[in-house]
Parts: sequence; structure tokens; C-alpha cells
Amino acid sequence: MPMNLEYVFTTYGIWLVTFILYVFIMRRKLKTYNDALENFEQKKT
Amino acid sequence: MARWIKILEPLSILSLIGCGIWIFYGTPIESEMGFVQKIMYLHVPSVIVTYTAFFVVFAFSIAYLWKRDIMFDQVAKSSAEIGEVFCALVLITGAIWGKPTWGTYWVWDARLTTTLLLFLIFAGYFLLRSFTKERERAARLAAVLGIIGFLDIPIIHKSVEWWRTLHQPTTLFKVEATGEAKPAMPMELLLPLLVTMGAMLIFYFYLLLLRIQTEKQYHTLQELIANNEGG
Repeated sequence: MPMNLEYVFTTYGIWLVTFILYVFIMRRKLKTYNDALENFEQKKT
Repeated sequence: MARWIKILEPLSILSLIGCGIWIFYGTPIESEMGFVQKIMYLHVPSVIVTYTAFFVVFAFSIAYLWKRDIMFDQVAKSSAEIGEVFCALVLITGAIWGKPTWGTYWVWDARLTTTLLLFLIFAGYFLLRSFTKERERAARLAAVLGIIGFLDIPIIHKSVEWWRTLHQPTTLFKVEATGEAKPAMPMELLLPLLVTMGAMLIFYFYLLLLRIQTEKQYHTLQELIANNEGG
């Protein structure tokens, strides 16, 4: 029976890379918005 | 919310790593499909998360249309985005699994086509939001589309029974002639699958909270900018 390792590792690789990127982008976005809000508050005071 | 994100982040990472180790080192190799069956542990939980994410869209869209509270729309939008990512992964992982088992990446089979339709409906959901400038109107129209989009899920689920398809029947439990539900696979394969589903649902809730937090901050920032320009 063929092992078909390439199919399994491609699948797990795609899944992993997708979420590493998604979490990275989302955390960066959140940090940008938090910083912008902080700047707004500082300008007010 | 920030506290829950901090709790769920390590919890989801550790549980997914644990499941990965269990899948590759602790589960037997299936006799018919061989090693490629390991894709099931990623594909099926991703399907469950897709269903959950779009159910959240459905529930919060109804809540938004009823109460007109923007918070409900933020949750629906956040869950739709995560659901769309998982739905894309379901289609990709399914196609890769299809090649060694069916000999082809894609067939216009009822299960695959209705899943692609779900993906396209929610792609339309985001297009609709980006094309509608007025926020209230965008939220209202998206809520209607979110509710309609969710109605595709029962069709996807039942498609393997209603039509003759290449896709295998229900993976988890099958109903016997006596009406009794029994596991559709041996316990050595079913248990890690169920645990992975749990781990992936924890990961979904972590992503959802992170996305809602981002959406809230964006909304606050937009309001501040609008007030600043107005006043």
C-alpha cells in the first residue's frame, strides 16, 4: 500500500501555515488599532 | 474578553499540538486507505468548525435583525470570516484527500458542490458588506444573507443521503435499521477524531474572541475619527 506521505504533509502544512498567518495578521491589526486609540486618547489629554 | 483570549490561546495551541502527536504516533493506520486517512483528523473537525461558525452567524444575524444592536453584527461578521477560512480549508483538504482515494481532486458531486456553494455564498456576504457604504444597511443585508447561507448546511449534511455521491456517507455515527445510532468507525479512530474536534472548537473560540476584539477596536476608532471630523 502506498504511503502517500506528500498528500498528508501538504494538507497539514497548508492548514498550519493558514492559521499561523491568520493569527499573525489579526494580532498585528489589533495592536495597530490599540496604538491608534491610545494616540487619540493622548491627543485629547 | 482579553482575559479569555489569554487563557484560550495557550490552551488551543497545546491541545492542537497534543492532538497532532496523538494522530501521528498514537493512532493505528487504517487498513483500506493507509496513511492518507490521517487527513480525516484535519478535514472532519474543520467541517464541524465551519458548521459551528456559520451557525453562530445565523444566530447572531437573527439577533441583529431583532434587536438592531451593532454588537450582534460584529460577532456575526467575525464568525463569518473564520467560517469562510475553515470552509476554504475543508474544500482544499478534501480535494487533496480525494486525489489518492478517488483518483481525482474534484468531482461535481452533491456534497462537494453544495460545500463550494456555501463558500461562494459567504464570499458574497463579504462582497455585499464591502459594496454597501452605510453601516446599518450593510449589517442588515449581510444578516439576511447570513441566515440564507446557513440554510445550505442541512443540505450539505444530507446530500450524501439524498443523492448518489462519490463522497463517503456520514463519518461519525450511522443510524441502524433499528433506529439506533452506532459509531461508523472503530473506537481507536473515533476517539482521537472526537478529541481533535474539541481542540479545534477551542481554537475556533480563541479566533472568534480575537476577531471580535479587533472588530470592536476598529469600530471605536472609526467612531472617534468620525466625531473628530464632525466636531
